Amino acid sequence: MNMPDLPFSARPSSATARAGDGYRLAADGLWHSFGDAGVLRDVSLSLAPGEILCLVGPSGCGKSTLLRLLAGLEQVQRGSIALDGEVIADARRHVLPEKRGVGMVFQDFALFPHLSLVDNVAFGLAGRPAAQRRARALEMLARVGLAERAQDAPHALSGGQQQRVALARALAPQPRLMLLDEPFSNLDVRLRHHLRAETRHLLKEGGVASVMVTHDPDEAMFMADRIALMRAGRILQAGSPAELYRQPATPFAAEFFGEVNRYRGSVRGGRVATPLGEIAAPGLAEGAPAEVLLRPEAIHPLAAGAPGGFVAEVVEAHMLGAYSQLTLALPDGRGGTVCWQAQMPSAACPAASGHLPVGLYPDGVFVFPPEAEA
Amino acid sequence: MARESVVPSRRGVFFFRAGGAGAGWLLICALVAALVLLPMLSLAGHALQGSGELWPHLLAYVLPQALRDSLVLLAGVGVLVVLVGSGTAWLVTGYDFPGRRVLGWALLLPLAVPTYIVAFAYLDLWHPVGALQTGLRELLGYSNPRDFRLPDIRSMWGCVLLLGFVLYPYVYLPARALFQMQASGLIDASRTLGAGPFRCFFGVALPLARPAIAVGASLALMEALNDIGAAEFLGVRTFTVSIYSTWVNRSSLAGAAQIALVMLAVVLSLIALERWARRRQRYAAGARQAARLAPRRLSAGSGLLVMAVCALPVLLGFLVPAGYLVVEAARRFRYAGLEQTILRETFNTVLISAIATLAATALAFLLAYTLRLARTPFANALVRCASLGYAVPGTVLAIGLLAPLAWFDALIDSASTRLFGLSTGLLLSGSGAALAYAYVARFLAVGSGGIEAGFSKIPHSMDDAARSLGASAGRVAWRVHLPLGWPAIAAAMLLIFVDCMKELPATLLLRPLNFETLATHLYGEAARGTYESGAIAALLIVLAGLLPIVLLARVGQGSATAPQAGAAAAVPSV
Repeated sequence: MNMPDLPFSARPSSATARAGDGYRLAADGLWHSFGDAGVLRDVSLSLAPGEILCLVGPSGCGKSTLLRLLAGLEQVQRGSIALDGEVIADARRHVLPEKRGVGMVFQDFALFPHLSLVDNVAFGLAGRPAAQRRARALEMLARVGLAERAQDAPHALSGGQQQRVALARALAPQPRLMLLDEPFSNLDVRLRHHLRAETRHLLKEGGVASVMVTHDPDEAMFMADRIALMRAGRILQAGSPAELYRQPATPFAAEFFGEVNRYRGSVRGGRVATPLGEIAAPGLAEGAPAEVLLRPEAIHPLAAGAPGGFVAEVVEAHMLGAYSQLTLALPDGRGGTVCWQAQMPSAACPAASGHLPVGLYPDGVFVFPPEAEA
Repeated sequence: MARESVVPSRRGVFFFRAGGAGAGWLLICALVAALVLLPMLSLAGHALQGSGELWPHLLAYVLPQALRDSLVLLAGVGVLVVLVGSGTAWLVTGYDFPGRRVLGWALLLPLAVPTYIVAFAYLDLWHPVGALQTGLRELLGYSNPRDFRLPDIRSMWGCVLLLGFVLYPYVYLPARALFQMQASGLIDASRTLGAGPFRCFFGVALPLARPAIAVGASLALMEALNDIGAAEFLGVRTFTVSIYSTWVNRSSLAGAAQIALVMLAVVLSLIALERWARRRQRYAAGARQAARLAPRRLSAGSGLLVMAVCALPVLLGFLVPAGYLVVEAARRFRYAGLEQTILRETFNTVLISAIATLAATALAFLLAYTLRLARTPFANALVRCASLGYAVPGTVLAIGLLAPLAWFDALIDSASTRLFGLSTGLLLSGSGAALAYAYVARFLAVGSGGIEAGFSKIPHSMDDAARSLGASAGRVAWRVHLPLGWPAIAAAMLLIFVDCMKELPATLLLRPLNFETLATHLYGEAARGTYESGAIAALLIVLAGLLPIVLLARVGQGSATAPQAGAAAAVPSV
C-alpha cells in the first residue's frame, strides 16, 4: 500500500497538465466560500473529451458547488476553469452560463411546465430555423424513446420519463460539457438502476465529456470512467472505480465505497498481526500503531484442514440470495475475541453456530496509520 | 499547499451573485429606487430650508392638534380593527354557526369601501334631516329635529367607528389565514388538554396570530393616516388634513413639507412598532401544512348570536353604505341619466389608472426579477427602498413631488424656449404624468410583493436550466418568468389598478387643472354637501373595489392557486 500525499488532484496523470493540453475541461486551484464558510479548498480536476467523471462525497462536501461553478451559476472566487484550453472563469473573468455551451441536468429535472416536451427540448436551440429546431428536438426525443409524446406537457410524464426529457433537452444543443446534478435521486431504486445504464449509454454514444454529482457510491462506480471522492471541500482521491475500491488512499475512502471491518494493531517487523494472520504494513514505522481495514468479501471460506487457515465461530448467518452475510467471532490473539462481518457465496456458506475455517484475500485488506482518519 | 482558508474579493458576492445579474439590471433598479425616494428627499430639503414666519404658527396651533388628533384616531382605530378583525376571524374559523360560509367571505367586503366613501355615505344618512333620524323621530313621536337628535357623527368617535368598520378586514384576512392553516394542530392539542373555548382563543390562537395581527393592524393604521376625505368631512384635523389645508389655503410648500416630515416620523414609528410586535415571528410560521381546524358546532341560540355578531361589521362597513349608494345612484340615474361628466371622469380615472398600472407592473416585474437574479444584500436593499412608497401617505408623497416636478418643468420649459422658442408649459405637472408617477411610486410595492410571491413558486433550477441552455437573463425573464408568473402578475395588476382608482389624497394635489377623476369628483360634491350627486361615482369606485375581493375571498376557500397567493401576499406587502 503506498500512501500518496494529500490533497489529491483529480488529474489522471501528472499535475503538470496545463489548461488546454488536450483536456476538454481543466479546473485549477478552485477555492470558494459562502460568507465565512469555506466550501471548496483548492480543488483541481481535468476531464478528457468523452470522459465521464463522478464527483462523490457526503452531503455538504462541496460537490454541488463545484458543479455550479463549472456551469457558471456561481462566480469563481479564486482559481480558474478552462474549457478546451480557453479560460472561461477565474477571479476576474466570468463567462455567463448561457455562453458556455455547457449542458446541465437538474435534480428536479427543471422542465418548463408551460412548454410541451418538444418545446422544452428545442429551448436550447434558439437561433436556428424553426423547422431545424423542431427536427432536432424530435430526433432527441426519439433517442430517449418519447417521440410520440412530443406534444405532451411535462406533468403528464412519469419521473423516469421526465428525467429522459431533461437529458434530451440538455444534449440537444450538443454541449461541450455535460453536468448532471444527482440526476437519479428523485427516482425509485429500480428505475434508477435502469436509467443510469441508459444515461451512460447516451452520454457515451454522443461522446460528451460529463461531470456527474452523486452521493451514491454504487451509482458513481457504475457511471464513471473516473471518480473524484470529495470531503470537506477537498478532493481526497481520484481514480478509476477499481482504484478507489481496491486502493483507497484513506480509511474514509475505504469505508465510503464498501463495508469494512476495523482492527487496531501495531507494526512488528514491517507487519501487523491480525486475527487472520499478518498483514504487510509498508511505510509505517516499527512499533507504530496501525489501523487495519478488511472488506467483508476478503474473508473467504477454506476447505477443512487447508493450510494457513483460521477457524472462526459463526455467530450469525443471513442468506441474502446469491451471497450470505456472516458474523464471525475470532480469537484476537490477546485473550479476547473480535466480531467481524464476512460476505461469501451462499453456496459456500455454513449454517449458523458452527465452526468455519477461513482465509484472507490480501487485496481486500488496507493498512493505515491511525491519524490518516483526518 | 496553503492551508489558510482564503476568502478572495467579496465584490461579486455583495453586488450580484454569478449566474447573475449584470450591472444593467441593478442600475435600472437603483434608478427606480431613486425615483421613489426622490419625494422624501425633496421633502426633507424643503422642511429644513424652513418657512420662517409660518413655523411658529404651525408649532403653536397646527402641529399639536394634528399630532393629538392623529394619535387618538390611530389608537381608536387600532383597538377597533384588532378587536373586530381577530374576533370575527376566530369566530368564523373556530365555530360552526348558520351563515358561517357566507360570512367568511362577506367579512372582506368593507375592504371595497374607501374611507372617504364610508364617511360620505354616513354623513348623509346620519344627517339630522336625513332618512335615519327622520324615521327615528317619527317612530318615537318627535316632530322637530331640535327635540331629538342622535349624537353628531362629525366627531372623533364617529371617525374612529367609521374607519374601524371599513379597515378591520386588513386584520381579519391574515388572522383568519393563520387560524385556519397554522394554529389548527395546536388548538386541537389544547382542546385535548382540556382547554375551553376562551383559553383556546386567549391562550393559544391569539398569541400565535400576534404577528399576523400586527401586520394587518399596521396596514389598517397606515390607511387611516393616509385618509383625507373621512377625517376632513368629520372634522378631525389629522396630519393629512393639516398638510392639505396648509398647502391649499396658505400656499406654503415649506410649511406643508414640515408637517409632512413630522407625519413621516409617525409612519416610521408605526413601522417600528409593527416590527416589534411581530418579533419572534418564526414560531408562528411553520412550513408544515397542518390539517384545517375543525370548527366547533354551536347550539341554535348561541349560533344565532355569533351570526349576529359577525354580521354586524358587514352591515356597518358594507351593506349600509353600499345600499345607500345603490339607492342614491338609482335615484340620481332616474333623475338625470348617466351624465356626460361621469362618463368623462370614468374615462379619466380608467386611463390614468391603466397607465400607472402598466408602468408599475413593468417596474415591479423588473424589481422582482432582479432580486431573483442577484440575491445579494445590495439588490435586496434596492428593492426594499423602491417599496418604501407604500408606507408613505399620499399627501406626503404628493407634497414631496411638487417641488422636483416644478423644477423639472421649469427646466424643460426654459430650455425649450431658448432652443426652439417654444414654451412647453407644465410638461409633467400639467399632463397627468406627475399623477402617474405618484401612483407608481406609491403602489410599486403592491406589485413587486405579489410578483415576488409568484416567482417564489418557480424553482430556481428553472432559471439555471434555461441559462445553461443558452438563454440570456432577459430571455429567461421573457420565456420562463413571464408565462409562469403570469397569474401573479395579473393579480398584481388588478390590485394596483383598483388602488389607483381609489386613490384620493395624492390625486387631489397632483391632478392637472380641470382634470377630475371619480374620487376627486366625489370629494368635490362632499365638500359642497351635495352628497347625492356623487353617488354614482362612489358606486363605481366601490364596484371596482369588489374585484380584488373576489380574488382574495377565494384564497380562504380551499387551495390557493398562484394568482390568489400573489394577491394575498401583495396585501401585507410593507
